[in-house]
Amino acid sequence: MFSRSALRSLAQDLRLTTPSAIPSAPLPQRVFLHQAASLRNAQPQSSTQSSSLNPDTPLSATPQAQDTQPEIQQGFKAPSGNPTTTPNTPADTFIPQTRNHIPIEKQPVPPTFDSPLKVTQSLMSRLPHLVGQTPHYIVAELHARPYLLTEGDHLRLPFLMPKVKPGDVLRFNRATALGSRDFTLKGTPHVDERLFECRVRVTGVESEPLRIKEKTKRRQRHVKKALSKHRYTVMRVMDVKVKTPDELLQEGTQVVEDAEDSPEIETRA
Amino acid sequence: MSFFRITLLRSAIGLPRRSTDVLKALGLKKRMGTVFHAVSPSVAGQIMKVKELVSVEEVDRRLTKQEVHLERKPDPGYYLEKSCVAERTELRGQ
Repeated sequence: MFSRSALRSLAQDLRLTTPSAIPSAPLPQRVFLHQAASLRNAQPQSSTQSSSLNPDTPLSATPQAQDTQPEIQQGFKAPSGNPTTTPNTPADTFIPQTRNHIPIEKQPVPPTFDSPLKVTQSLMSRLPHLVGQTPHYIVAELHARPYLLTEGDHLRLPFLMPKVKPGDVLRFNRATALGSRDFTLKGTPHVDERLFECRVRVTGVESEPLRIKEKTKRRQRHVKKALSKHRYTVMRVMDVKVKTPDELLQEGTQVVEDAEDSPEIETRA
Repeated sequence: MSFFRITLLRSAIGLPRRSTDVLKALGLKKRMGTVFHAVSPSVAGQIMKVKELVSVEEVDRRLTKQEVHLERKPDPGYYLEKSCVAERTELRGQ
């Protein structure tokens, strides 16, 4: 990890760069890189905290994301009380009537992207710090439940995942946070899926021991036995990778100027 | 034409019979149940009778039951990148 002097130099480096970089765009999705580990030494921390902690970077997922992606997000917003979003996007043509009518963005299908990813300069400038620290973790959301994962982890889902077989490779594309030991990229609420790769291989299905619940009724000798034996999908995390700025640029990511009115900046001491 | 979207947030247990009857008239049976009624003075009066129990929004049209359900459904967060069958054929091809 960083030695104290290295951290200090980094902090100064950041202090130099940040005054211009701090104000970052107020796009709907913002991401924060913050240094957790700078806690250890107070001097650099004060400097880093004030300047670098808030590389709050809007990776706007909504405008640039593909067909399905933005709609997913609208789907997320909808519960908060905007009932018109659902009709607007898919239902202009088709109104879901039965339980089988599930829009494509709520199904586990690979996304397609219309417009390139937009990343702010401040995120681009700080991304190398995160990428450089190798063991990365990801807080991936499956059906809105968070799972904190690192490479090599075994994951037993609390449910049986449908339509997957042992040996299948899955991509997790919903993350609320990406991080290493010292840095965290926080999504607001989600990190754009084109910034990282998280692959998981299905290794099999586990089952719990058979449970027998005895059901009795009064004044009857008969005892009904209710059996239950649930099955769970087991998987292993193949890789958790944050893309480097070079890779992002190769994929056609646009670097956006930081907007003048910076969104509120979360600092974690 | 606009509609009231009425959701029962609190139960009418322990309230006067009137309140229960109004909820029944509105078609609200259990908490978090949602009904749609066209905007009219009579429906507005019914809502006023139970305004402490329900939340009301105005919407453009009646949403279907599935649409109301889909508002709360999160996206899966994963997709199948490569199935084991595809990988096997790939490996054999090499």
